Amino acid sequence: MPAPVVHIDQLSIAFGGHQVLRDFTFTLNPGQTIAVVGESGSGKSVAALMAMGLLDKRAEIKAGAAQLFSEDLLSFSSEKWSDLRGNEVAMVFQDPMTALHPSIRIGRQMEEVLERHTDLNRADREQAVIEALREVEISDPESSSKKYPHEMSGGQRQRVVIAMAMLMKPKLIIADEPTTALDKAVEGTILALLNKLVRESGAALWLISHDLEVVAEVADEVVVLFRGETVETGPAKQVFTAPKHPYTKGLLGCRPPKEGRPFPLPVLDDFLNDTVPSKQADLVAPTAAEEVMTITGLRIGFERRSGFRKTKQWVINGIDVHLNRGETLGLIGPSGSGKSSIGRAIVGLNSFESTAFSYTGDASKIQFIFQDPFSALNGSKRIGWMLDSVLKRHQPELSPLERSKEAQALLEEVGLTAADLNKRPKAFSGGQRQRIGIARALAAAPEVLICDESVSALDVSVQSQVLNVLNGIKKNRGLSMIFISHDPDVIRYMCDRIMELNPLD
Amino acid sequence: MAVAAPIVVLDSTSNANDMDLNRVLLGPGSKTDMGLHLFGTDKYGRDHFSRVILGSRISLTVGFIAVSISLFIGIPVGAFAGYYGGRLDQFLTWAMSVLWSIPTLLLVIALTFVLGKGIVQVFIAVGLTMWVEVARVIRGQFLGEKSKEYVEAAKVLGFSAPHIIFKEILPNTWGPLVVICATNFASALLIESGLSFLGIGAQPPVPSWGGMIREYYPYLITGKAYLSLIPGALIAGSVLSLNTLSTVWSERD
Repeated sequence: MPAPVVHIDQLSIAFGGHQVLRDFTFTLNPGQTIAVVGESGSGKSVAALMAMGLLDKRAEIKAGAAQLFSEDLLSFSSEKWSDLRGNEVAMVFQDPMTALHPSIRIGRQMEEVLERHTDLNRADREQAVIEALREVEISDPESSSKKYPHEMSGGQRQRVVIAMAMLMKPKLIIADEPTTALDKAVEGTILALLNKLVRESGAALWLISHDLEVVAEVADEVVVLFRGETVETGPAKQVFTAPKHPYTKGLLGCRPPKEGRPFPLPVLDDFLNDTVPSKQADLVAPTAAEEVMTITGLRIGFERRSGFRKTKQWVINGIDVHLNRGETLGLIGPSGSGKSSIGRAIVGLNSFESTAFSYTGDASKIQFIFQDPFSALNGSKRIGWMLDSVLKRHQPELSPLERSKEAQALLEEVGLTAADLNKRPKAFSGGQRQRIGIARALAAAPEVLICDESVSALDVSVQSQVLNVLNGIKKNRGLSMIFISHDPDVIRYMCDRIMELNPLD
Repeated sequence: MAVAAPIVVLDSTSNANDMDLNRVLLGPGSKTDMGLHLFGTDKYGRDHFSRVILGSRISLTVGFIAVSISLFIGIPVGAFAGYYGGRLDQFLTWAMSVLWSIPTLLLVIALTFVLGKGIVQVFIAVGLTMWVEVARVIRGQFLGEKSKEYVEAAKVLGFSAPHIIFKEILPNTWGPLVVICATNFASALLIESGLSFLGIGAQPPVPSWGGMIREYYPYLITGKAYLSLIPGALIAGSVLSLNTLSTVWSERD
């Protein structure tokens, strides 16, 4: 048995007394793929950062052993690290757009790695780069190497990042959420490609992900982390099909099911407290078809400026959208398909053209839930002020006292408490902020709710809670909803009717 | 100090103008029937300490009023330019660049020729030139903030543009605004001193730090250098502390 690439025993890491990782034990052998799975705040990235020597100096590290290539990595000097990184140890990051330099041709960027670590001449370097691009299955590697990152799609960019990581034939590759920023459709192929290349080269792959389902396909073993603690380890297939720990069960069970539309979805606490409801009634589409909104011949375009000429590039060219009362319409498609543009056009955030646009109520009765719970709320305002100003605008007949009562009722409707009125957004987690966004939209007493990737930025266990909130208010208030997402499972679960969009060329 | 002036000064006349030719140019620490002259007396026999303290009032007033005027004009101009963009932004940015290209001191001098000499003219003139800096900072902030989702959310919720500009976005530009105010305050102090030194700022007998330097700089080579060095050090000190304040503020998280 060859010596392990990484061997970590009883590692604990804390920042300023706050424990982020506790008793983490991990052994990675050559040719092996191990996935560390957990949600945000689980500490899944911290151990990998330490193994790359990238951990903040303020971190308090306690470990029985922390070895890289059988040497104590805590004693490495910074020169040793910079020799190792990119050479023997390589990293693939989450976002290929920020991992690549935006204004240097990709071929040149890759050559720089070779310049730093080898003494190949220029022609050999170019050859090696093209060879590496061919290995990651980029079509026409010669001309692709002359491209800038923005000229490529997200999937292609991530292939470039992988090619760059593999250039020096490293012994260890750490991939931190390598497919999270990509469309669902390319996610699987990229991960399979990464895994194939690593296995062929005999290196070890340390995969970090929030998605047990995706990594179960490629990893040999899985380590599940929950709030810094290792809750389950084992062969990937086994952990995925027969999870033992309630948290792992929850991680898998909170996802919208592949079939059926039970409401409410089980949430993480159900699994931790063993109170998973057995059989739930399914969500059903409304039977009577009463049209709330009809748009025909919808066209959405953006102006492109090339030199002095202005051209209009259409992302949506002549489609019909209609929405019935009480129904959820799903819009799904890859990035660039214009699904978000439709939602934004309906509420007036994008300009659009249409042959006919009819809506039964007034425009303020269409409200919008945004994707990013962090930027959708004004950081300098208290929650109470936000709700109060919306109520003042939309229900001016209410007295200040009635408004504050109403604000309280709205927060309770989305599962928060009256005490939260005095807090600012900073005090809340992502899921809670998304609830506040929902409460704020409800304060305008809407009839139609447009959710644009509203749960995409959330952890799986939080996702199910927010989906439950959305379905709950929809049922109680008789709302109609347009639900936009790239996630087929979520769309299938949420929607009565689905429109699939494809990018125009 | 400026507020406590009535208590600490010896000379209670409004401009510390009580002249007495029997006590001209006494050294620091001398005693007369008026009391102890901490910084001595000037060439008209006025208590130098009292005049320095009262001079701080002039400098601070110029700072406050000039900064207020610059905020009053700069915030709306910058906010509208940044928020609406397009032709309005182009026009306002152009106007700002034109004003920006004129040296401040020159513009102030020109304005004092039109409006006449005096302290009121100085702070109006300084305020009218300084708003450009405020407007630039505010415009930049608005350009960054207006594409954030909370602004879009406010639009969808049906809020009016003034509500979005002044109640939603403006509070988020507070940090850089405080920094620019402190630096502007410091430069207003400097401009006022410079103008008074040139003789077109505060008019004698009103005590102002710049005017006092002007009055006593010939004494620099005599034994009475402190007469102009003291107000000079105070100007330097105030500007330094305001700039330090703004640096601390901008580095605070």
